[in-house]
Parts: sequence; structure tokens; C-alpha cells
Amino acid sequence: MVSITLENVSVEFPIYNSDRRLLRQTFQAVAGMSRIRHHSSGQVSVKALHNIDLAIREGDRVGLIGLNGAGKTTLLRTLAGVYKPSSGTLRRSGRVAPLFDIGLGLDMEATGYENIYLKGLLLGMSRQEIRQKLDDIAEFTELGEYLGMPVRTYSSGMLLRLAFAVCTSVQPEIILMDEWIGVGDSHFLKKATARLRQFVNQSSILVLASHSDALIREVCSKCLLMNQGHVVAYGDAGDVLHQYSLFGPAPFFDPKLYLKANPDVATSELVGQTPWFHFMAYGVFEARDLGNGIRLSDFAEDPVFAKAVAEKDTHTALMRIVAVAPFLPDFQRPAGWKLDRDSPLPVDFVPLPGKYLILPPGYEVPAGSQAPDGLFLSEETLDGPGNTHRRAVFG
Amino acid sequence: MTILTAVHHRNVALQDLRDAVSRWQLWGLLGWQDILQRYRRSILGPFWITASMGVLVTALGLLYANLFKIEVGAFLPFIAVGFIFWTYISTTLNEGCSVFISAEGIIKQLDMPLSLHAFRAVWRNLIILAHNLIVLVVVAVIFSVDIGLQTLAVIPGLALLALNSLWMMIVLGFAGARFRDIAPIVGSILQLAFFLTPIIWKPELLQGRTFILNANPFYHFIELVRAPLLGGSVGLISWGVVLGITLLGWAAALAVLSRYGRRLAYWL
Repeated sequence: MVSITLENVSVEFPIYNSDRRLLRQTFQAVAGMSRIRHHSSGQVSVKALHNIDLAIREGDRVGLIGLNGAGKTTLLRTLAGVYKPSSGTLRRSGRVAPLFDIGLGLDMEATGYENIYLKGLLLGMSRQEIRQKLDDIAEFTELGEYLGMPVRTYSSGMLLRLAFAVCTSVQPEIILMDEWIGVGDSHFLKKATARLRQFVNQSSILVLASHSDALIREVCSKCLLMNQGHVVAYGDAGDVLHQYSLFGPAPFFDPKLYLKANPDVATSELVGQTPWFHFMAYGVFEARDLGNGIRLSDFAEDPVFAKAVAEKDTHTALMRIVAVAPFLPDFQRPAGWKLDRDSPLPVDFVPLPGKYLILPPGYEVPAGSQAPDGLFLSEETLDGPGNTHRRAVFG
Repeated sequence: MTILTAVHHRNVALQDLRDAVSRWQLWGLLGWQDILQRYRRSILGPFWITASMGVLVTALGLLYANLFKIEVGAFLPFIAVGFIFWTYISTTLNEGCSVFISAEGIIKQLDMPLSLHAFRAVWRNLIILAHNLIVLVVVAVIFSVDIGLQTLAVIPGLALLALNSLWMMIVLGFAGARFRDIAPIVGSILQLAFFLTPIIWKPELLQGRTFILNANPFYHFIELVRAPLLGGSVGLISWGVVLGITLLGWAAALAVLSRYGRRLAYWL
């Protein structure tokens, strides 16, 4: 049974050549907020993956999405076994083919044929296996007698064709890709696309990091949204992409937590509804608890949200959640998560009586934003000494 | 089932070595390609190694035989053997410091046994050594070096030399990847060692001050192969020192491999 399971996996990079003084100055400003950690030994490290729990089963086609630096490539490399977890456990069964750089191992001075052997061996094939596949590979590349020439003389398109043909001649059970492989000219494109499709279809698991929604919608059945080294959401590809388009990479909705907080949704899942679908169709209007400290009941007194709910305007309601959620006192921020500096203060929000909003740690009130009458900003210690949160209390 | 955890296991190192050995086709080819790459499009090809070593050894042999007033027939074979094996030893040590750094591309994409890169580099240097041995054959014929049964002792000597290069590559490779100052340090030490080791001068010149010789591990490694090739026999001290270094060195290599193998990708 081909599968990949991650339990509480973290990956932390030591940084050896950093200018520690400079880093300290830069990051003390956001003390405790940054993903960059200063150990007592003076060692600087960056936590690239935070406590990832993930189960990828046979047949899954997983799309990895998120902004640059979200941890997609690090996760792929961890799945490939390149980066061993700093903590936690990764279990994997199945033959893996990482296709991050398909040109890896090409020797420019060697001929096309020599490179087929070189790349083939690198991908784990034996000489006999390569010999059997040699004709197939050679035919596919359409390079003919060029294969006897050093690849230094090839155009970049020809080089790509050669590497592509060898890479897709193995039969891995798990394919890991950082962006879809694009192959050259239009004539070849059709052939290559067909071959890549077949190659992917033969595998049991595909994990593909991409910035193209269309591609992920087309190729993947599931989608994993990452942000700042955390898994924000993992579920049906269409759902997560939709969530990404509305909420961005912010950790406002996690299907797993939503199900946990709303056990009754699980039964509706039986009739084909996903958590996100349920949330969009019903949850928003039913003052549900999202399971991560965002309780829609907290929005009951807010005129903007109430109006949107009354008018069944899902989009406005969601945008209101995006604007206010980071300031909710109970909102569970993932470790090290940082709110965009230019996020506006939700000055017109009306909380429940006796409730207040807080400024998330590290967040600075944007220049020029004026607190209206009745908005009181004061410094108070919420979580004990040394951990001062500024509190915005609505009077 | 592959299980990767934050905890390291003792048998990881042995598994790594086993996997590396089983992929001999890969490092075999990579090592060859390294050589071919250097000499592609040249007429002599890899035999440039032989030619340049031949010229060097001849020139040095003639020069120093004159300086030291020793008979060329006795001195040239001595310098040839010493220089060829010194070249092998110093090159493997120098390259050892960057053995993983230069394989960064592969290490960051494929989960491959790490020692494979050391096998590749040692194999590459053995191929170069083989080319240089042609010089030795020519020298032996011209100066009718005493070749007999005792010459066979060079075989275990060569095997030990290769075995030692492997652990040195692994240990230096890790050290060099983690601390980038290791490579220049090793370079300077080797430069000094070249003059302290009897390669271009005969050990007899020390006139009994054998401590300088016996305290020098490079001397024992060179003796291990030079003595049999020149018709002598290897001293017991040399055998003992080399065997001891082999055991200690491999223990260190296995420890480093199992302790830091999982961290290496982070250092590159």
C-alpha cells in the first residue's frame, strides 16, 4: 500500500553564514514573532515547517499551494527524504521519484546516449533496465543521430527533451514535482503532455507544488494550502482553491478543525458535502464555531456581518471575517504566524457586550488610521509578564 | 517502508554503505565521467595524466639525484613511486573536503546513500592512479627494479590505501560541509606534510632520527606501497600504524555518518 504519513513533522534550518548582529537588530523588532530563532548558543535557525500532520493515501493527487516561502519546496524535499525531520516522524512506502530539477546530473561534455545512462542510473535504474528502454527513450526524444553528439551542442529545448524522456521512463509509485514540467516547442508539447499524463497516471501518489490554479484544478484531487510553514487547510482541491481565493493564505479555515467543532457536519459529509461547502452554504449563516477560536457568534452585534447574513451575501460576510478574525482575542494563531503589516484596523466592528479585540503580537497600527470615538487603545498585560499584548477595547 | 524521524539509528551508517556499494554502477559511471569530462576533445585524453606525471618524475628524479649526489638508477624509481602515491593521497584528502559540497545538486534532490559520493571520488582517484602506474612500469623496466614475489605485498597495501581514502573522504566531507575552513586547513597541512615526508628525499638522510619518520602517518602509508614496489619489505611498525588508523578511522566515519548523516543536507 503506497502512502505517506507525517506526524508532527518540523524542519528547522541552521543558518551558519548569517550576520548575527544584523539579524538580531532586524528581528528583535518583531521579537517572538519571526520564524527565525536565536538559540542560547548564538546559533540562528529558521523553522521552515511547523508540526505538520498529514496523511497522503494511495490514489491521492495532492496540489501544494501557498505564497513564495510558504514551505512548499521544503515540504516536497522532506517528502523526498532529502531533509530529515528535525522532530516528528515521516512514514513512506513506495518508490519515490522527485522531479524538482529534471536536468540534474546531465554531463554537458558527454553524448546523448551517455547521458541517458547517467541519468537513468541516477534515477535508480540498472544498466540492463536502461538498455531495454533505450530505444523507447531515443525514439521519444526525436533527436536521432544527435544522440551521438555531446549534449553541449544541443539547444535548451533538445536538452529538456532528453532529460524529460529519461525521467518519465521510470515507473515510480510516488511522484514529487515542483511546478509542472514544461517541454519546449509546440509540436513536441502535445506529445510530451500525453507522456507526462501517462507517467503521472501510472503513479499511485502525486504531490505537485504549483502557482497555477488551473493546473491544480485539472490534475489534482486534493489540495494542501501552506502558509509560513504551517498547513492552513488540506482537503478537496476545488474547496481549498476557493478558500485560498477568498481567505488568501491566512489560517482562518481548516476543514479538520471545522469538523471537530461541528460534529454534525460530518453526517452531512456523508451525503457528499465537504466541510468548506457546508461552511459556505450553511455555516456562515448559522453562527458556527470554526474550531480555531473564530466563533461567528462573536459577530452577532456587528452591523456589517449581520446585514450580510440577512441578505445571504456570503462574500461580504467572509470578507468581514477576514478583516476581523486576526483581532479576535481567542483566535488561535499558528506559532510564528504574522499578520500583514498593512492590514487595516477593523475600527467599525461592534463586539458583543463586554468583549474586546486585541492587536495581534507584532502588529503595528497602520500610520494614519484614527481610532474613532469610543475606541480605547491601552497597553495591558494579558498573558503574564514579558508578553505584553496591546488591547483595543471598544467602549 | 521508509521511516524518517528526528532520532538517529546506529545501523544507519552501515545501511548507507551497503546501499552505496549496491549502486556501484552509478558511482562507477560518475567517476569515469569525471575523468572523461576533464580530457574530452584532447588527443591524449586521460593519458595526459600519465604523460605529465612521467615528465615531472623524470625531471625531479634527475634534479634531486644530482643535488643529493645519489645514483639516478636508485633514486628515480624511489621518487617516482613516492610522488605518484603522494599525489593520490593528497588529492583524495583535498577533494575529500568538498566531496559533499560538490554533490549538493544530487543531495538536495535525491535521497541517496551519502557514502556513494565518497565511493565516486575514491574511484575517480584510483583511475588516475592506474594511469600513473604506467609511469612506474616504464621506470621499473628502464632501471630494472627488483620485482619478485615480495612485490605482491603491494596488493594488500593498495587495498588498505583505498579503504583509508574512503573513511577519510567521509569524515573530511562532513567536516568540510559544516566548517568551510577545513579545506584550506587541510591544504596547508598537506603542503607541509609533503616536505616532512620522505618523498623527494631518502629516509636515510635522517641518520637514525627515526622518530620524525615514525610519528608521520603519511610516511607509513607511502612505505606500505613503496617498499614492495622497490623490492624491499614493509616494516612492522608501518603495518601496525596503518591497520590501527584504518580501524580508528572507520569507527570515526561510521559514527559521523550515523550521527550527522541526517543533518548533512541542511549544511549545504
